[in-house]
Amino acid sequence: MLKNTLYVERLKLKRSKLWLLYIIGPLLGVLLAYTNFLKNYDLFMQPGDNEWIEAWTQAALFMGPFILPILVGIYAAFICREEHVGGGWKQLFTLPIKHSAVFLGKFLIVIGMVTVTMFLLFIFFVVIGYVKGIEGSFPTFMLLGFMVKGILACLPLIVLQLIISIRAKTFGVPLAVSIVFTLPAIIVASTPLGQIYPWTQPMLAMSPEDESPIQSYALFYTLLIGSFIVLMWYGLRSLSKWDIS
Amino acid sequence: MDDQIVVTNDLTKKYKKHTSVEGLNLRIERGQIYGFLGPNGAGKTTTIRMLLGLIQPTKGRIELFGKSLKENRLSILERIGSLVESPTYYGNLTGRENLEVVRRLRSLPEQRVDEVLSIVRLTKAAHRLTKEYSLGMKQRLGIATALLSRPDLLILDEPTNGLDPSGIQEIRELIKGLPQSGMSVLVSSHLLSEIDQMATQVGVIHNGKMIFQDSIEQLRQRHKPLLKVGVSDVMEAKAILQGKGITTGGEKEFLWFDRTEPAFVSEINSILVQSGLSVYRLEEVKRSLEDIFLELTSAEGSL
Repeated sequence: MLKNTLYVERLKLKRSKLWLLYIIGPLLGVLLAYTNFLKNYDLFMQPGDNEWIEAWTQAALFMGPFILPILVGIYAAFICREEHVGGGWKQLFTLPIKHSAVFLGKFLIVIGMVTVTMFLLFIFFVVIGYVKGIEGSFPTFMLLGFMVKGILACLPLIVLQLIISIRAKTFGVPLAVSIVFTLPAIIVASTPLGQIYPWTQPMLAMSPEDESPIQSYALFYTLLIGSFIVLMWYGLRSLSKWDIS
Repeated sequence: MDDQIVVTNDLTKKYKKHTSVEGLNLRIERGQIYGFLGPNGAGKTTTIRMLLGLIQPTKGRIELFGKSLKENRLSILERIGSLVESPTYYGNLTGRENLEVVRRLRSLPEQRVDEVLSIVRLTKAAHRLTKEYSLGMKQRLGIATALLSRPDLLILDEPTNGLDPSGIQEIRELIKGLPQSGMSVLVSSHLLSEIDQMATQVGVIHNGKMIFQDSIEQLRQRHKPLLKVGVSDVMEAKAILQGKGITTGGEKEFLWFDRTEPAFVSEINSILVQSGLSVYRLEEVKRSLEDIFLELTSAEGSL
């Protein structure tokens, strides 16, 4: 059943301008990162530091608390928008499909979008890095690890933005929520609340350990999984009780 | 096999203080075309949404195909095709792709898409994006979507909305032919003439309450023609007839009787003429279903 749901969700994205977002978001993040890194090179580089890792710290700083959460907000709103506009919800829920399958289908699609974004982020980071003449040994596995952690850390946020996007009939509401809650993300990061604040979690997961305020990663990932489970439970439950009018 | 396709008991939906549907007992049997009739805002769509599980009733039970909707939502929806209010469409997809969405989710064979496209005559437009479709084309796409799974019960909410006269005719003929294949149809409308031309069974809803539910013949028969009598002095005529034991629902200008058989008409005529009044009109008035409907929906009990 989920296979068909996923096929259909992908079909619905046909002819969309999504690729623009895939490119603009990561590209913007990488360009800002390198600009900032090269401008303040002496400040960031201590003796013995790897240039790639220091540059990545900047990429994580621009992507994590700003671009990525807003992109997640847009992605979630985007895949709910067509349903709101064309009356898709009532059709979906009068078909013999479980409410949870509809929700999980959308959830997995957004994960797919975030994965594409991360992949392009990686590509842009490497290519532009070489163009700008970044030196040092390239920490391939470390960076790929940050990508995977970044995707994982987006899960609670994806569920939360989906819940909002399903309920709000317009594109503006989830987007506004996304922006308003993303803005303080970097401030929240240095408070104890940061580890359960969904807009901060991606940044924390993507930052190198010595640059991160996290004391215990075991605790962080426990909180991450915990907040994901709670949000997912709430999302599924509220959907099955939703009066579609 | 149980032939009761739809049974609701005391179905009620309240929104805060407003009661949208109240104590509805709907009955639809196999092979019927059930015309669900009522003015806009009477509760038709709310009822249909409850039948499809889109909204939860405040009170009451819904049984479809003899099974409770609450416990068997998915297996029941498997057997229903529906079009609720405006048709669903994804504007960035073609007509065919829109059908493909539902075909996939229902796991139906591919050729069904071609079949329903030709039923609603959208084969030629199938490769155009639906955002370019006219309202009538979207409506036909919605009907095609509802027919896709060859449902046992088809629920169409105002299916002729936005269609031109020939389109309306076409859809009407299509609906009338469906019970031959064992399908039951619930079709809602605020237009009586429309229900009159295709339904075999009628339910009239007004202010959330069912005010009539029976066969369409019953609806027509319950309201036989009336006799309208024009007489020089209505007040005196009334008094005279009353003396003879004949009551009349007289208005200002005319006398009204709910009997029209020739003997009765002659009798009235001769009584009045012999009393010295001049009778200038004896007319049988056939009431359209529109009148009957207005009568049903206006304060109950007039005549």
